[in-house]
Amino acid sequence: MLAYALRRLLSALATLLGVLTLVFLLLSATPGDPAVLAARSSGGRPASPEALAAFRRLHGLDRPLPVQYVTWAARALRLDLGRSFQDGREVRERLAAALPATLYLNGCALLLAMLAAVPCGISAARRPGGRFDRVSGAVFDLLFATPSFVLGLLLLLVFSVKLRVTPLFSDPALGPLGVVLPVATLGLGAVALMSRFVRASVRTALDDPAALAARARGESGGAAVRRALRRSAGAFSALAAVLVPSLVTGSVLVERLFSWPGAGRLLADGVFARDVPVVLGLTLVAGCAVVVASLAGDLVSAWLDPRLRDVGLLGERP
Amino acid sequence: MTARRTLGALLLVVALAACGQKGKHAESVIHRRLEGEPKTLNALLATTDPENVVLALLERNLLEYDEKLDLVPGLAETVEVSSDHRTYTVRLRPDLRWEDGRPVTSADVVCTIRTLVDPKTPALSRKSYWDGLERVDAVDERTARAVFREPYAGRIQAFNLPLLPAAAYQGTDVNTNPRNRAPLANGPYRLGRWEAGRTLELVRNTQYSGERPGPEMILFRVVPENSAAFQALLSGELHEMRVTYEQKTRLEADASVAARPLIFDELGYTYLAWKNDHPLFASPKVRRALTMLIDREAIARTLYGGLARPASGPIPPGLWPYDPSVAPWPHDPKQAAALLDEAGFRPGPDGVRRRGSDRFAFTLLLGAGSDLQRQITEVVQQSFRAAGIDMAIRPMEWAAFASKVDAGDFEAAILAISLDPNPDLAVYWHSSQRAPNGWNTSGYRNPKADALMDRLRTTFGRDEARGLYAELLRILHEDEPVTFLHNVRSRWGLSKRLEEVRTSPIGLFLFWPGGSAWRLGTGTAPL
Amino acid sequence: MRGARGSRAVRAGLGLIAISVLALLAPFLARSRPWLETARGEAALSAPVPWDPDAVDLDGRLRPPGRGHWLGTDELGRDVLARLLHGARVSVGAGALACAVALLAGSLLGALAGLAGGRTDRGVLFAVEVVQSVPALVLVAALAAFLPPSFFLAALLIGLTGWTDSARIVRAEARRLRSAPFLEAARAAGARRGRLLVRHVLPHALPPALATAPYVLGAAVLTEAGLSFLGLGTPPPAASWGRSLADARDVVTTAPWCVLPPAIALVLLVLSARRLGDAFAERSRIPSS
Repeated sequence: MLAYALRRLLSALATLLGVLTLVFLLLSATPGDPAVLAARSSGGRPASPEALAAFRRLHGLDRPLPVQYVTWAARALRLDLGRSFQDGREVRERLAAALPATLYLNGCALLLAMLAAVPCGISAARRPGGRFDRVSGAVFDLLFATPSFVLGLLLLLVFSVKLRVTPLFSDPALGPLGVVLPVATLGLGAVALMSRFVRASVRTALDDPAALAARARGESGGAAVRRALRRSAGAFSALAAVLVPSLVTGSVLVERLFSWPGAGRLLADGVFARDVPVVLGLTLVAGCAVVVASLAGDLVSAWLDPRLRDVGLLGERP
Repeated sequence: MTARRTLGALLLVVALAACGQKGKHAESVIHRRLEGEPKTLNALLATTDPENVVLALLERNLLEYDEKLDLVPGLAETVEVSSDHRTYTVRLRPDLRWEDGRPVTSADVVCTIRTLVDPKTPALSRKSYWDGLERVDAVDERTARAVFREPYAGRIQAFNLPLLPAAAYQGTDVNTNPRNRAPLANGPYRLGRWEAGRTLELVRNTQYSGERPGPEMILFRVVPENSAAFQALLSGELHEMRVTYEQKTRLEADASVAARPLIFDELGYTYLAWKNDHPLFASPKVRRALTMLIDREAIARTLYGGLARPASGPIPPGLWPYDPSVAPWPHDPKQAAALLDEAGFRPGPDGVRRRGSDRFAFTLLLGAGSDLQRQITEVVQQSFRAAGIDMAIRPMEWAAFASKVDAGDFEAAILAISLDPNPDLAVYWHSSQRAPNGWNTSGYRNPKADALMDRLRTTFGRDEARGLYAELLRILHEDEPVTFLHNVRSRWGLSKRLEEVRTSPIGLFLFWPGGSAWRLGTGTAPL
Repeated sequence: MRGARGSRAVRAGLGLIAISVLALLAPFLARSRPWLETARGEAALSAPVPWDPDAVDLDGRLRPPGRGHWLGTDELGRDVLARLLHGARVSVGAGALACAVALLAGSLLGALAGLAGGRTDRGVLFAVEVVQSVPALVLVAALAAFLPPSFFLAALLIGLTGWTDSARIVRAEARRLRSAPFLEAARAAGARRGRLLVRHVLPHALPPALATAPYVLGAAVLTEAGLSFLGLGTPPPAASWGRSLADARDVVTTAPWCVLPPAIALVLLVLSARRLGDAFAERSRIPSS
């Protein structure tokens, strides 16, 4: 088990490196000179050549690409993520300001989605084709298919304007009511996918020959469900890993709508300004989150379901 | 008994009055909106609207624009110009202080100007006024002198300049100085709490020697989404914002909401840039035909709700050289077709005009950010299609769009420009300013126009200048280097409680007194 | 048993089929040129929706539903119903493509990784994690700068990023099945890797992945709406549901007839796709008896 974990850790580092390199290349290759973009004014007027040269010198943009990358990587190891092209502030600072807000928002949304999706999915799986299955399916589809900016706007109009129970500008300092709208907008959109997924996994597990045998032996419905859940552990952790990246980079549209100063907006601003340090910093955090979640997911499911620890079917060791 | 009752009544009245007073003080906070987060609060480096609007309350300029766009004393008591128009002597007011109590001196003026002209400083539109500065020195505590190599008619505008405190900026790198996020104010307000991404609080600056502003605090809130901001405006949680045409209609129709609309003219225009050296757009007749194919009146009437008018040229009404005798080209598809035929573009078998084997087909670049601009391009596309012109629209994310336009790498693009009070057309139309050197995005080149613009640089008398402008504007009208679309009127939604709101051709905030004159009343006072 | 399941699948698929048919026939159903003209050039038989989707009419903008325009007109006076029909072609077509690519590629790779373990597993996992960690916006900006924006840009984006989700899900299932007795039996009987994969593993591993298919489809349209919101997306004047949704954002309350038709159409699309997916999942489930 330990060797397995160590090897996974190494591949995790390799993944991080791969992601950062890819993002750096993509962003650098995309047309749009960060110097020009940083120096442009609202009136639509470009900057002087000397100013551009000075900017490039300041941020090391006058050096060749590989040198820039290696410099950034070396600094990143010391946890110095460089300075933003847009305002010269340390990237560390900007991330520290924006990430907690997004993690909080997306974490709550994910929790809400899971709390709603798991029981609904299980109920639907126990009686497929039944009324609850069909009605919940339709409602969730409706929620999923509504674009976030429409759903969010409607929630805002109903709860903040008409009923006045929630504030117009979401703020965690105002307690649960201050965040319920953006959390609900994000969470409700995700519920559909999650509940259908839970339903499918539990169905599959319930249909398993071993499960049927247990039922024949007189196992109760509840125990069958618990067994099914354990068996679906692998799939569930896969799902969690799937949803984790969105925890970090968040939803730009929802953050915009509710004036939530999160990482989604930071990312959008960064990409549009070709602010390489900011985007790389966010990618680093997102990459770490993905890798950790993936690793944890695999380890947890291996622990929960011993069959997964075995040798690969085709004779290769894991 | 009566005395007791009278006394009681009197006490009651006093108590009520006191409550009312207290209520007003607690309430004297103006809630303002920022569409984005200010990246810096360094007055020299500020480029975007959110930054400029906040800084307008923190920092005064040497000379200020007033409502009529005349330059009036600000921090500077006087700015004297030598007879050869090369030497400018600035004399500061005697009672100026920074918020930490230190006096504002000529050392600050000299430091600011030297920082500005330093090639490493990316300050932009301001820099061009200081081209050709020979030297700047402090003459005494309150006087500084700047000497230029050449005279320039627009030079005095250079002194619409804010100051940086020399004590904090001398010898440092202006780009990374921490004071950029914690500025020292010399204006009516100073920076209080700044919650990055959310709110910015400005409180009264006790060291300010000018007139005390009414509100004790101005709270700026970052609200990127228009619809959310509008709801706050309707409920009274926000006191000002730019509104769309639909939102303005709602404000007019509903008397029960907390805000009312405000419409006024601002300097600027929208236009379709044609790459002048492109074979399709090389001929002025063709460009004129393109202009005549667009029904600008209909667009103004419907998409802008009547709050725009077709632009006749690069000088909008509101700037003194404006010539009302130059009328915009009329909407005349028949005449346009004739012009296109004349230029050799005749309808081909697929309905698209062609000259020889060249089809009249091109791509228009559209930058993200304005729904209205997008709608206009779609209308223009249909009008062109009816006349046999195949225009494809390419929406682009702003950064990519700006890069292409600045580099001159495009065929056609839709753009908007907001002007400052300097009517110097050379910046936009002189052939020396073609990409990538300057802002002549369409690459327009006319030696006669160049000559006129050069002469205007050193023409200091307004009457003489007017004559030259008239000639220049006529040439630009004939040449139609770009299709001037509209002069758009600005639409704002303001809380009914706001008093002393004044407008100027450069907006609500960037002149003196601008936003610092605003007061919050009880809501019944008319404007 | 099989027969009943089969007909349920057909019934579930009716919605999807109906939408597809309407989309294909849009150029005939919605156009200003009449189906039949008299000798004098007058309209003898017009199309049911006699409006071109691109025809701008500034003075008739934002008209509520009524005679002539059954679903009203949009911000530029164009007929909403005509744009809905024409938009279906782009939205459904490219969405289906994105969905198919993402699912197929993802499932195959995921099953391979789950079954084989070892280096193959690590290789696929590496690719999955790298693609998942790249912020979508970076990809969008890069793609949009080089390719002209169109619905296919959104489809390409979904395809490039969506395969990871089904890959992970199928991989997890395949890992669970690795040691299942029936697979051991098949292997002992000499079945090769490919056969094991397709005939034995996929039928068990696919249902959870198929459960996500309609959402991938819906996500493709929503992504295109998001792109249009950000200023990219299908270039004018082409109609697409995502474009219509994003363009109508400012008039959600004042002109809901611009937003509701594409929104409802999208819901119906997702709903019918889901029911079809569920029915196929039921069908492909190996009978327990």
